[in-house]
Amino acid sequence: MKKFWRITYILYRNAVIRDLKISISIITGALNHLMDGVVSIALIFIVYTKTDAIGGWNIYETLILISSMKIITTIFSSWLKKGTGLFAEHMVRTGEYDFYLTKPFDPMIAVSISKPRIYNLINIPFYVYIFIYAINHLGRSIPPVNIACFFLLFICAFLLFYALRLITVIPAFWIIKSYELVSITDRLQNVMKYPADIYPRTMAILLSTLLPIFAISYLPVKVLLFEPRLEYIIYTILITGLFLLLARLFWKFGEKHYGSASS
Amino acid sequence: MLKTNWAYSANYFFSQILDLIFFLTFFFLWKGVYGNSNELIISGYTLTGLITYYFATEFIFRFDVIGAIYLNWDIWDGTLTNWLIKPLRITLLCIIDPIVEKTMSVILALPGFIASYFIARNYIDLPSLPNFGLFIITLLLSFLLNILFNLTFHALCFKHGDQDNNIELINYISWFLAGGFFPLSFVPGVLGQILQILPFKYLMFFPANVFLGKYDPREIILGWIGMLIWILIFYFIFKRVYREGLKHYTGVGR
Repeated sequence: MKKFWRITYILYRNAVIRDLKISISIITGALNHLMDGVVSIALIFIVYTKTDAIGGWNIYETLILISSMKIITTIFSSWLKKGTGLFAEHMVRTGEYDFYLTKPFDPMIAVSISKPRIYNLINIPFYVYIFIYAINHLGRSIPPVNIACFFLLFICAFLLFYALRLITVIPAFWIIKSYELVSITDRLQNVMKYPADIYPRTMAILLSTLLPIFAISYLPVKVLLFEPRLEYIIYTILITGLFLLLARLFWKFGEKHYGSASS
Repeated sequence: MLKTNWAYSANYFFSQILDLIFFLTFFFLWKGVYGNSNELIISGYTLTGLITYYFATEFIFRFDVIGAIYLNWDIWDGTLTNWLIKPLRITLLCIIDPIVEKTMSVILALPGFIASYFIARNYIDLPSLPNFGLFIITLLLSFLLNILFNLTFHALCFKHGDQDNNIELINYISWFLAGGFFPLSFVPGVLGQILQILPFKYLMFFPANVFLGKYDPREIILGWIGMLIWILIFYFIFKRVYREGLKHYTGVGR
């Protein structure tokens, strides 16, 4: 674990040095990410001029949902997205994965943390502001137990998002071009922005089990704002553990099919 | 291109599924909004009208030129030199290339598009044949406008270096201002009025409303004239930026 944090620190330090050299790229990159959040929030404001609730959620509850989801995905994209993305698009095809296989460190983790994009974190204060703004306007206090449960599920949500991302990039061991598959986690963020209650039952079940994205966005906020039901907490912990295990086994299985392109 | 997509069938399959999910998200979101609202018509749209709007925009999105214009990369990595030594009009080639590429991608997107229709068919009003003809003409003009708008930013690469991030950002903003995420008439007040003046509405909002049959022939012709004016404006801007930029171009090593 100590080794993991030391490598992460070195990679982040290098990322800062690299990104500071190309300031225009940093600004446009960060603006790109920010625009997505601004558009989502603008859409929410537009929607709520036409109604006072969607799926039983008022505007502030939905803003909490979006900002919480955005905080998770922004941390993810600054830390793990680029590395896993390059793995799918480039590393297996060109044999660059050899570099990670030969290091005395878990290659799956090494690949994931290899390309941090620190400038994405610039957007975090914006989402935190929206989150706090919405909490302040809720008009009710949140019990400490809800807050504690929220943080627990928030961590699970981050890990689950990582596991899902891994599952979508691992087919790169077999598939040459998997751009759309890799972008699943990005594109599904569009679904995660809204309360699960707006979707039909079949879709909600599908997106809670087979592709459990509601455990990433909806359930943590549900326990924060409403009753922190034990079954939600147990379910989220179990499904996170299960998907992390699946991702790990899938990676190991894929690795057996890896034939170095450079050897 | 057809062969390329078929070779990467898993990628193609997932792209269809993801496009379908994108449409369904808006479908269920607005179904929820209308279900909860006392009004049957919101900002001039019934639920059926609005879902049809999203159905039309899903089709128009297939003509998104991001990733179909390569001028920025060609300038940045020097590939442009290969084109410059050939007896071709590069500016014309830049316009024809995305037209060919997007025609194929629209054909390939048809299965996903048909699936969207069948899922939401009770909420989609297909246009009459003459109206569909008007929509196609509007769509082609909008496509041409979008190509020229994007090419202008690609040509900035000559003087200002790689524009990849800027192009992505500008496209995101332009789709938002074009009504790609909701009809522009939903935007209240002065901001809504400003959006109606800007050329972005011709990329999405105007063609989608032609599909819906919301305009009379006079309004459509006025819209087409507006589009043609903007096409000419962006054509001349692009030509100017390209010509000026080319003076700064050096293709070392090619």
